[in-house]
Amino acid sequence: MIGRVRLRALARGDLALFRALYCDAETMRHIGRPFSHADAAASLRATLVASREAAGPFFCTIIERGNDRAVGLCSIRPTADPRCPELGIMMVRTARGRGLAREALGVLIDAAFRTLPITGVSVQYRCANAAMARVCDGLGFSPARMSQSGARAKTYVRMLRRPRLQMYFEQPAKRKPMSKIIEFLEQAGRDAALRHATREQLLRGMSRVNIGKTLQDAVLNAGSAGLAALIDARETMYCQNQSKTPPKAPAKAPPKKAPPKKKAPAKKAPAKQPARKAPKRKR
Amino acid sequence: MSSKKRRDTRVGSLDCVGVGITLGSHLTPLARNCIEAADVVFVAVSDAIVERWLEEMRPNVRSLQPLYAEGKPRRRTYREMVEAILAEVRAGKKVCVAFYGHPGVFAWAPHRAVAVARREGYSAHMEPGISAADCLYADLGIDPGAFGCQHFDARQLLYWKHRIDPTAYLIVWQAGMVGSDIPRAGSGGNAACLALLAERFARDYPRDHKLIVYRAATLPVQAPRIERIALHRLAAVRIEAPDTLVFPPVRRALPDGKMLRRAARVARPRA
Repeated sequence: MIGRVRLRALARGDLALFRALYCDAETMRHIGRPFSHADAAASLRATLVASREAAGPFFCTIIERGNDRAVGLCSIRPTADPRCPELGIMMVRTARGRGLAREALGVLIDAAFRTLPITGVSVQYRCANAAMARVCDGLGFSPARMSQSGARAKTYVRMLRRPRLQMYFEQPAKRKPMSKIIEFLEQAGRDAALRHATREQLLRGMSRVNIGKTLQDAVLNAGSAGLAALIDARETMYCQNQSKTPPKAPAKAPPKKAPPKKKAPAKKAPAKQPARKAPKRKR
Repeated sequence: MSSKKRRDTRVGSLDCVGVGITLGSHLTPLARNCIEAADVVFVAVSDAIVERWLEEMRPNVRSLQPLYAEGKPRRRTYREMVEAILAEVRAGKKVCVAFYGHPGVFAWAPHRAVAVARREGYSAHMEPGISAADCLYADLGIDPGAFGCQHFDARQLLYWKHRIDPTAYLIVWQAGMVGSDIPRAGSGGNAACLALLAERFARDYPRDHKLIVYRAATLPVQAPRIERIALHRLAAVRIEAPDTLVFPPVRRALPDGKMLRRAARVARPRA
């Protein structure tokens, strides 16, 4: 199946695209400060030079097939682990929200695994970049973990190992039964007759919409988790809460010391009164 | 600039909607319309299949699940959720965030997002959804008005000194999450904290008091979990995050004679 995007090497003629990406504050909000036009031109020249080096990054221009327009950039660059390079992607505003980034990154990953001696690829993105998180989810990247690097403190790191890629390319085939299942579940949820139906009634309902035996069993027996695994839904789901942090336990008061027993004042021997002198008798 | 003027110039908007608990059964027409009409739709649900359903209903929905991570403080995740949502509102988009159940029940992020958006002059609304409590009343046949009803997050009861009224229903949410917010809690932390929780309940209920472990059905082909156990077995039973503990009243409330007499006096028509 021909995809909607193709990749070609970045060229000098891509200055307009480079500026549309790097000089746009909204596009750069998860990357850094936007460039001036002059800086973007200088950066393009430097990137082209670096791309020619054997150990340098490699930048590709993303072309939308329908109109042959350049809609973004993606890159692959070496990291400290030579078997796991890092990927990056930027899309112009008009090309977002249509799944093109996911397709383009999929093409790049496919090419990287076919041509490079690597075991996986990684991505790093700022925690607030929900769009990139979605792209990575769709491609089967590992769950996010915080970057340990000091320079990129608030970023997530995610990995994609080679075998996971096969799952990504199998997805179009999997999507068909999944849609049927979701459609059936929605129908069952809305239909008062099916809402509290017996197992037999549900089986008949699923057979009518051509849901296979395996999926029928998964729907009725495996419960939500088993079904999620079969339709390639997200493995781990978190649920919200009020997020009250436990209060700090008040410091334990030091055990009260028993008041020192007042020693009964030692009975002092009455001071000896000086012996009164007998008044002198008047003589 | 006055807040009214600022409101006129801000074009972004935010709708926090609830998709209910059971897939397909609980989505209100208003929530569906918000999801379909928005420029950007974020999804924060706890069931992977429900997330898939919303993805099919509206392509390019953005899941907020990737913002969670093991060992990451929940409060930070929720702040990032609010930031991700508001970034799109500030960019002038019509944003809808679909939460499971009711968006404003046991959820910090939706309340915060709506409050911040309003403070910044954007139009922001929360639309109610069917919550797990609503399903619980229906499935267990409980009328919260019959004896009164108290709702607590399990951790509130464990960490704070609350007074429980054993003459009314007690509903304890998210008992499966006790211990999850204690740093360096091991894998056995939950069972140990459940034992502590049972100890806390034992102050107000006899150890053989029968409570109900309840979980609403997420899929229309599932049945709800309704399991009756004795309080002393609480730590031995598998309790997960979606499970809820329901304590029926243990004794009848006593009439308050003094207030009854005063009520009769003030209600009596004056001659």
